[in-house]
Amino acid sequence: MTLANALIGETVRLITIEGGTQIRRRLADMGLSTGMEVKVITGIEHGPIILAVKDSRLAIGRGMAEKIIVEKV
Amino acid sequence: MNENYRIALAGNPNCGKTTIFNQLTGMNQHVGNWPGKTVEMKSGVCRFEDTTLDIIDLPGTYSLSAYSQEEIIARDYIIHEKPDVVVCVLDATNLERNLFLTAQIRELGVPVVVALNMADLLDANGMVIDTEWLAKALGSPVIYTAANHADGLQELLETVTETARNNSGRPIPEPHPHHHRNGSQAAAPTNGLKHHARSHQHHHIAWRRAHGKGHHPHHLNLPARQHMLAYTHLQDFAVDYGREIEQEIVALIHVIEQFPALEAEFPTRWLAIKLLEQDAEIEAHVHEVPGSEMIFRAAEHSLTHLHDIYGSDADTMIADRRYGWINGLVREVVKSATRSRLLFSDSVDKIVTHKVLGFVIFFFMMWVVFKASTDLATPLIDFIEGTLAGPITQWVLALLNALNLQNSWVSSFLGDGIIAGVGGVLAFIPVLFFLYLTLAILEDSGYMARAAFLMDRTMHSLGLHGKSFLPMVLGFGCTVPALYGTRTERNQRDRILIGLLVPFMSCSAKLPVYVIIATIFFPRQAGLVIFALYAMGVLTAFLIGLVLKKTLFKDKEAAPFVMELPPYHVPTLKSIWLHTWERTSAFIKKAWTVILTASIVIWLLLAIPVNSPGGSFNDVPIEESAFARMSQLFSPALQPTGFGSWESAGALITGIWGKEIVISTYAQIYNLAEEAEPDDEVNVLADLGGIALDLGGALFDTVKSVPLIIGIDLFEDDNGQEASRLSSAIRADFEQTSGGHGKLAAFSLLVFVLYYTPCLIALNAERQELGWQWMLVTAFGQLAFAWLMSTLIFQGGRLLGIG
Repeated sequence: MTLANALIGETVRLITIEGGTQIRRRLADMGLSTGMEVKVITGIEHGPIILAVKDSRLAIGRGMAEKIIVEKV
Repeated sequence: MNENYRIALAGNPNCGKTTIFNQLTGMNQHVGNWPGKTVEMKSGVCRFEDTTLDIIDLPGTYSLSAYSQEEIIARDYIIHEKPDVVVCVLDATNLERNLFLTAQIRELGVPVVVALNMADLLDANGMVIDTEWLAKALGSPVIYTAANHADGLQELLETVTETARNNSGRPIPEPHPHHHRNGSQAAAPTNGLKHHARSHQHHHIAWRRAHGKGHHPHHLNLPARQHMLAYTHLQDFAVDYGREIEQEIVALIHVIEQFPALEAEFPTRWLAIKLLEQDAEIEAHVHEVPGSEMIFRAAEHSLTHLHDIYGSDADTMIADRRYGWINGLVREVVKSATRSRLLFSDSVDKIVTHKVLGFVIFFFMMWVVFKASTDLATPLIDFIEGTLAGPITQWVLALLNALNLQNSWVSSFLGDGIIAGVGGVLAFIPVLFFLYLTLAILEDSGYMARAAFLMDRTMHSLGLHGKSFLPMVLGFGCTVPALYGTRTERNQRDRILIGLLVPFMSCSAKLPVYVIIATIFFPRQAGLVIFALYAMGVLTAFLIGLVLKKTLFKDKEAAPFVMELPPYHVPTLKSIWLHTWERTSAFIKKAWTVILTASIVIWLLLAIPVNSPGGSFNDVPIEESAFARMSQLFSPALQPTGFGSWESAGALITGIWGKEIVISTYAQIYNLAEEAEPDDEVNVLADLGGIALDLGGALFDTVKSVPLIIGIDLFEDDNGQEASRLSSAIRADFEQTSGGHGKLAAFSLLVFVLYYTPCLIALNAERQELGWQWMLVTAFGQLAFAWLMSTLIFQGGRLLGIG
């Protein structure tokens, strides 16, 4: 499943990040790397979501969330 | 002994780096641009004991990969300018993400001092950091700071100068008495303990070199595992990337070492890692070195090998390993955590970003911002205008009297040219100041990031993302700072698109035009008309954005939206002040010359007679002045819009210098400016006292207006005597040009003011930020659009029998 399908309050583990090197690198810079666990704090339908990534909170656009493959923890 | 060191501040956005910079340099700052870049460069000087520290505030970045201009700038500065010390500022409550950048900077092999900022929030979060271990693992001294309380800065400066001194090879002065010195390390910095100013037991700071002491905690993932790490002579720090990657790094270093030019320029281990990460910027650089094909062949070989093993690209693996290393370090170093600050932020976010409630709060916030900027500014604007028209004009007249120059052109020049021009600039400052003040509070408290989150979907339909919404809001104040606000956009096409849309956000200079014309023609619905104009502007921007996305920017993919949401916090007065001042002064610096020149030029054109039988300089009927003659050339083109008089044409032309000038030109044309008569006696002291009293009254009125912001009586009384005289003149003019459809023509004019060419100051900023061609598109495109819309409204309205 993708991060976009994850429910609010759910904790998921990142499997892969699809899309170009640039996007992957950007996400890594902001603290998202594969293998780590993130929690979906809240989100807007068809809009962006807020993620808990370690001790920071990231807003991520829907398009990007659809490129992040995750599994439930 | 006077020493001079160059210090660079590096850190994530929102880590308080700029606060530290401001605390260290105070008002000793210089703000400019990085050479050839549109990114702001801040530098300043800090004197500490007998050392002079030149401090550069590097752009806030999350990493040193070459994702954005800011990152390239920060990286290039550290590599090429080789500062004596890089201070890595970290948000102590968010160590894991912040250490990513620190690790990258350490890999560059430069001397680093780590400032664990926001240390005052650790207790509240139930966090304890073992700084001794952290210092060991990073091979750098670690200092606690709480920059917003100016805490820990003394220790920071001590450590920075010490580190700089030790790396410069200069003799080390006598140690401070409270330092315990380890005599065996002549070249190494003090090996001791310093107590944090707030003297918490666990808040002690330790400094030890990673390999300086014999023992390592065996469970800490320190870089001293000798089996495969490739150290260079520059580095005593390395992240262990794991056996396979380390092997490839060693292999690449061997190749790189055959190129002395590269070896001299970059730390070799770092360069090898960048080649494995396929960093485009670095690759391009290496390409320029003759014979570098050899390096690329080796890198290609390594990458294929790693891909075979891991099944994914090396850069992903490297990032994962770096985080793995950091994760291990944080687990060792940070003890317990209740994270109450985050829990609070999360619960607020559930409300503030709610799909319904969130938007209600958002619109309420925006309403408060606009009410604050208009209501709070009004008393101060009245004060400024009153003082200029009253005492100041009196003083000038008295002076002229003394020089026997009364009623000469000099008097008219000073009164109608200079004082009117200065008034034009000053009258703006309160509105902009309060607008940017309220926005700064929303920004610094963390709310704006949430607003960007809410707006992401809407902006997405224009091919933009949530963050681009901020420059749009800034546009309601002034287009100039709004255009500067687009500098954080990663891609030039986004900047152009936002830059084209920003002028449709009615800037604060248009507001006085709206207010005065609307109160003349629609006294009962003025508020509604003004609101409609703002809404039309926003709607038009949206529709034009949609059209541009479907046409000119068709191939443009929506920029990815990732943004950090900093935890909510109470902003400091200093940061709000600096934010507000930065934007307000950007306007003043750009605007004052233009507005003053405009005022003088208009005065001159009004004074010069053209085809005027009886007229002479400064004594000519207004309709025979150069200004009227020039305006008469343009008025026929405005015929279809309903306001085709030379007076309106003239007012609109002057509006290109600044929209608010439209009204003062009308006033000047109808000769309504009060002719001030000099009082018999001018008492400067009494006047000064009066000015002080007026200012006190104005400030009191401003404060009194605060609770009214929530109320709705926005456009009440403002109809002074002058306005009513002006109103009958303008009304008569519009009734005549429109053939008895004055109201329709007035609305048509308001729409024209909303859409037509932005002022020269804004156009100049467009040229700087977007280039000549886009400036011309804006200038002529908006003029044509305004004419079309006004004509449509006037002609359409007449056909439908409205007005």
